[in-house]
Amino acid sequence: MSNAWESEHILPEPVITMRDLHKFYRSASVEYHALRGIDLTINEGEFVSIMGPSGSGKTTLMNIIGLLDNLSSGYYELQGIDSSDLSDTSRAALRNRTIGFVFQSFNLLPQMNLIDNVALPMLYAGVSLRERRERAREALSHVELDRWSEHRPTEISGGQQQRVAVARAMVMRPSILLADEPTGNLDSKSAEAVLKLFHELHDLGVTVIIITHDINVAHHAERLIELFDGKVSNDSLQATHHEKKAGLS
Amino acid sequence: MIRERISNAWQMLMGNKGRSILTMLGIIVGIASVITVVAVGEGAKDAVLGQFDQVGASSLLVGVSSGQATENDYLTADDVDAVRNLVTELRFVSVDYQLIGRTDKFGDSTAIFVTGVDQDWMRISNLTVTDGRQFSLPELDRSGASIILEEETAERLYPGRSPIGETLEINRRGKLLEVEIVGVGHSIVSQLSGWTGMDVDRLMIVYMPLSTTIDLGGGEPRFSSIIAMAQSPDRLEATGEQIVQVLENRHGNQGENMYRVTETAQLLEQADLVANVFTNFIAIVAAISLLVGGIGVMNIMLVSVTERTREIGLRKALGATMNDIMWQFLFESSILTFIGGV
Ligand SMILES: Nc1ncnc2c1ncn2[C@@H]1O[C@H](COP(=O)(O)OP(=O)(O)O)[C@@H](O)[C@H]1O
Ligand SMILES: [Mg+2]
Repeated sequence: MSNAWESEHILPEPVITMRDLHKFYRSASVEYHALRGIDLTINEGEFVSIMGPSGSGKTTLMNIIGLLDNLSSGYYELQGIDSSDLSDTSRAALRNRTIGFVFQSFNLLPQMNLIDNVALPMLYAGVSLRERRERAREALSHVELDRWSEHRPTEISGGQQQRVAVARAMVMRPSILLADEPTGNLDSKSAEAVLKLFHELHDLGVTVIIITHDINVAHHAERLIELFDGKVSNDSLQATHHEKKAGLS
Repeated sequence: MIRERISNAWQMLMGNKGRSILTMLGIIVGIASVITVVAVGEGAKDAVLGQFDQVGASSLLVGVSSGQATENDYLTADDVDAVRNLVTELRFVSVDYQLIGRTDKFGDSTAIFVTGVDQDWMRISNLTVTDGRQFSLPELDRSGASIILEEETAERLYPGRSPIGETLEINRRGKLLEVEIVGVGHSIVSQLSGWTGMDVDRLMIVYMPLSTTIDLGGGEPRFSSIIAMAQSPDRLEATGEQIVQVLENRHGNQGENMYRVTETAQLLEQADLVANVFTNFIAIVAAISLLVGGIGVMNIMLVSVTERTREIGLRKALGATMNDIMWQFLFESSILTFIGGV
């Protein structure tokens, strides 16, 4: 498995491959068909936005990409590995090493200070205490919050919390960053700061996937995938903010 | 690695001190109440049974079964002497003689429940004095006008002070007797009274020399039962049979089944039965509180698992396996239960 953090330049190689993927939610009385045949390939190093109205299946798709939920039928391959072959332990390990998650509601643990929050993924990877502290501090200083490392999440603003969440997502040096509505709870200035971090990661070679229903956020990506009613309704490359800005200046 | 997981669990607990302390308080109260309930139950059982232990396993009561009994079948002082002389394996023998008098000393006419005692009676019934003194031998032999008040009666009539030296007048069918209170004590009679349904709260229970009591009762009394103590518990049955034989010979009522033997061991068994009902009740209460406590802890853990689905989801996203999560909860609840239990 190639690691985006170490390779300067690579040939496009699929990290996510989905074929005719379906997801049903079953409860005692009702069955809901949330994903209705997704065909999708995302290559290493892409910056992708997934858009769609509420209820169109975006979060469901992200949970399946992130191995947090099982698909009902079809095929899903993550970094060349067929997801149906994976045990709970290997799923956890694969998530731990290849995917960094960022959520709409930050999801920092209020019981822990920021540096321990950032270090948490490394606990599950079995990294030594000393290295955990070191790398967590490094990641916090990258998002310019190392001054707050001993503080609790409740003591900082939402924008700062989301930057801590990004630091936590990148601390294991994953090849994929999965963000579900990362700016949904942020003001535009904080949103810009978080998106800037995403661009930095993308520049390092990380595959960035942002789920959003904000068209301005979606325009940061090179590729826009639109979901409607559990199907891909549109999939196109687009000029990004970056390129537009570069074109203007 | 385990050390790190424990310290992570500890960190989570410390990060939510309020809930941790409340959870722990629940566990502490739960465990404490179970311990208390069980201890109280055991203590109460011991106390109840302890009272009967004093009676000894070797005393018995031979009574007239009053159904078809005639005046002739009832017992006299001579019967007691005969039993004393003829039954070899006897240690003590006395009569069960009680009468009810009245006194005006405490406002309206108060009923006095007088038990006549002699030396043997005091041995068998274990009359123990806690204030003042026992009856002296001359008092017992020569109809001394002294009484010993039952403890609860003394407490009720002379709250907070000693009744020793006080006198009172007992009226029995117009016959008056002035007596002096020389002691306060308790015997198996007062202890049994609770079991026999005597209303201790309203009755005045006193002990008085048997001869004095007989005089007050009006000469030649007939007794309904005699009490005795055998040499040893295993001779109890034989002793009972011998006493019945002596009595039947003297009254000429052989084969009429006029006298019934009750061993205090049987009373003991009854008391044991009552105590067992009590213990079972306590056990059920304890079981219920344990169940309630257990459900409480389970509920707290369930609530915390439910309210922490978000945290569980997050930890999974960060690479925790289901095992990791289970261990975390196990560590957290173990730490809480351990500290709470201690
Ligand atoms: N766990 C679940 N059980 C049942 N239905 C669900 C569950 N999660 C999502 N759904 C349903 O699936 C559909 C897609 O949900 P979701 O993927 O969260 O949409 P989006 O993120 O695009 O708003 C919605 O109609 C939602 O009600
Ligand atoms: Mg969603």
